Amino acid sequence: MKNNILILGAGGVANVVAHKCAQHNDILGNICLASRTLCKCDAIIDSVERKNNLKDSSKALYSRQIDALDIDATAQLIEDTHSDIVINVGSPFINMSVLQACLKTGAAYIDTAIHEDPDKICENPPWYANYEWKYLDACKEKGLTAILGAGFDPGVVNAYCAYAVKHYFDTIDSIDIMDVNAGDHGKYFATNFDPEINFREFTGQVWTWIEGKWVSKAVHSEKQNYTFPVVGEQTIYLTGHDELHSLSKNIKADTIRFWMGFGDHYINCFNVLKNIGLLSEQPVTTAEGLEVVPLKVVKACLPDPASLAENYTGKTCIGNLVKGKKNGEEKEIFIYNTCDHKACYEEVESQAISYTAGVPAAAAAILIANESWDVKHMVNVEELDPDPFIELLDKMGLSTEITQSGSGKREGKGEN
Amino acid sequence: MKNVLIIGAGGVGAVVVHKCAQNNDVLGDICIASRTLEKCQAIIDSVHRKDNLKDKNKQLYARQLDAGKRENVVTAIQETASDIVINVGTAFVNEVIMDACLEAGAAYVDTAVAEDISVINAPYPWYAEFEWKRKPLFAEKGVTAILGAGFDPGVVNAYCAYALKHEFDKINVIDIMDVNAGDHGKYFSTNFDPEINLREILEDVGYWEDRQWKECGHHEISRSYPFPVAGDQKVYLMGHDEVHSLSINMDVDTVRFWMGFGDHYLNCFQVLENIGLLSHEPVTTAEGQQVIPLKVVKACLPDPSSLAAGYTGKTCIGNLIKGEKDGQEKTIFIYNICDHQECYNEVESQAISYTAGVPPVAAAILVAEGVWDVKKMVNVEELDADPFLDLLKTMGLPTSIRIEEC
Repeated sequence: MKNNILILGAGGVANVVAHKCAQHNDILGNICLASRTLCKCDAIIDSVERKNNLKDSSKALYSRQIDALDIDATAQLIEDTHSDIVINVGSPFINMSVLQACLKTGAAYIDTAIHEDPDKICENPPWYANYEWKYLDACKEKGLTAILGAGFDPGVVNAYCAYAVKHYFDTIDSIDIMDVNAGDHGKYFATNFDPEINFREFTGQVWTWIEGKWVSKAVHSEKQNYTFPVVGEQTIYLTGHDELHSLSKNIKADTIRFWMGFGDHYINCFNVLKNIGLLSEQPVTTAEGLEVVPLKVVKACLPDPASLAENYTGKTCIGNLVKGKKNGEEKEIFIYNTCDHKACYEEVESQAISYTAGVPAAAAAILIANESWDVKHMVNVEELDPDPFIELLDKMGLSTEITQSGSGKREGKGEN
Repeated sequence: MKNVLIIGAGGVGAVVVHKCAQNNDVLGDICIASRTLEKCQAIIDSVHRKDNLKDKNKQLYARQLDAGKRENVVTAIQETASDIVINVGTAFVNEVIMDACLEAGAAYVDTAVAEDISVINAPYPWYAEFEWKRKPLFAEKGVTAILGAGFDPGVVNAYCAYALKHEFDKINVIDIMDVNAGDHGKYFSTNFDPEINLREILEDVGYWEDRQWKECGHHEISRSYPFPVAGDQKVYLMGHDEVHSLSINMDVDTVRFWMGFGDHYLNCFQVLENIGLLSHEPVTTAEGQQVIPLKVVKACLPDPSSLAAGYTGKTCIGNLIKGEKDGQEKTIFIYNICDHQECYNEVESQAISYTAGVPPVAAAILVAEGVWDVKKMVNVEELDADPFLDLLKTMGLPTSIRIEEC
């Protein structure tokens, strides 16, 4: 039985992770929140106390200052805090150093996003092979549990794939992961998480898995309209995303794509910024000789994502449209979650985008603590049994719904 | 013979040097000075490349100058033995250069009203803050200062004076309209220094209507007008230098300035503005670096001078003037058409720099010849427009007049 949790990072997702760990600290034990900026950790602790989310008040919830790029310092912090599980929800630039600190100390590792090199964007597939999977053997040797990409997407959507394989299909043809936010933050333009990380996803190329091959496409070059449960018809764009880089290896399906919803106004603002060069991660020099990274200046001008939560209304819908065969019949399911921004704010003072990313990481920690997911090696979420995860998430605020249509629906279209 | 000191080595500075060189038999030695010597040298190379130095016995040379300090400018005027200073540097240094001219006794010509870098939405009329305060000093010392002698302000002011002299008994309404129907082929670009350009566009709009100052937001009021050559164009009411002197000197009910903007330009502008990227107030990045967003936008945009080689199409700038002649109502449009490619062929600049840079050289020639050497400070509409428009016609900027149907 593992206990005591070290949460690295103090952004919007870390806030949710802290709240949800606190709600389950009878299982998880003491909780330490650590980031570069101590006051951000303390603000989260205040929020947990304000919302009365610390279940067992005999357990500690406290903060530490850390530079998580420093492997030795991070290993020391893991030991000092007696943490058995590290939940890394800091910037994706720190993944490799945190993983190495876990290898040094034996603490289980959980993250929610793929490692990124500050100087590179949209890396060649499979992206995990460039960083995380280099440590597959090291983890196995040490018996270290490392669960990669355990947010919602990647994370729960990977479990949805495993769930579909286990319960619904004999063979799968295609998986379309679709993520839409039908909420409204009331600002002219804002990103829902760190703009620097957010824009990096869309400024390079789109890698997607089509008919058993990696295919590169231009950003926002393919879109479609899809009618979602609850949030209705939305325009979604083919986008590169973490989970494709593991699902393509672990799930037998010809085609696996990721689609993200964008409104016309968002796309317009994005295009103007991008075409002018303001989303570039490469420095420019001003007339006065100052070296500046334009993307960092755009970030400084945009609203702090954390500030959006209070007035956010509407819902998100994230799910997988899975097509395949069961008992020789064509079959299609949409397995999804809808999440309400306001309900999230009331519970943990975050919006739904942070909530959907943060709750699964806390659930994964609980499953490691109770040993059902303590697998002693490095895995992506689809390699684990999805049932306990989906059941636990149901109780933790992220319920799963499934709509199905069998071959009957398609009969009118003839044999295709 | 009057030697000329040109301050500023941007796009307009380049045109001024070319045109001075073409007329150096009248003007004399020419010195181009700016903070960055290489930019001056590049302009001189361009003049030689285009073989625009008329009298090869006269000098054309460069000098490094920080025009932010008066003593530097005085020394530059004295050491170059210049009789006329053409200031086409940033509008933030006008005041210093004016004072240096007063001290050294050199005639002063500029093309834009002085600006305080920290002030957006300066009080009306703009010239009162810096320039007109010095009127008594210039008169006392008998030094000529011609303010705003580009195209707009400048030629459009002369159009007003010309109209009153030749076409009208009384003028009621002046609408100055500036459109660029050209294409630079870039996604988004300003035609001159983005910092100055975007500042002037995002300011509140001050205009003179029914004999009083009125205000509205930028891009709030627009109209369409069928321009000669350039065709139908949408123009937006905007604050501009010339409104601030014409409203006083012309004795008319209404003076407005309109500038043409395409939908794509406006969309880009609005996204940048709404996000806060056109702000001249510093922001602090997550890493603690203090940066002025507008300066970063400027660094990302194409260098305006790089646009010239690929620029096609034409500009049209002119005045729609309404008034009375012989008891009848009358409306004229007095204007110039300028072709980007022809400008590039002649002086390696685009038409926006060309239209702004040719007129101050014409003004300098008129000062050198004594025609405009008025020994005091004036705005262009206070001078006789005829010799100016005649000279501009021979220098590449012909004037046309269209009588509008009422």
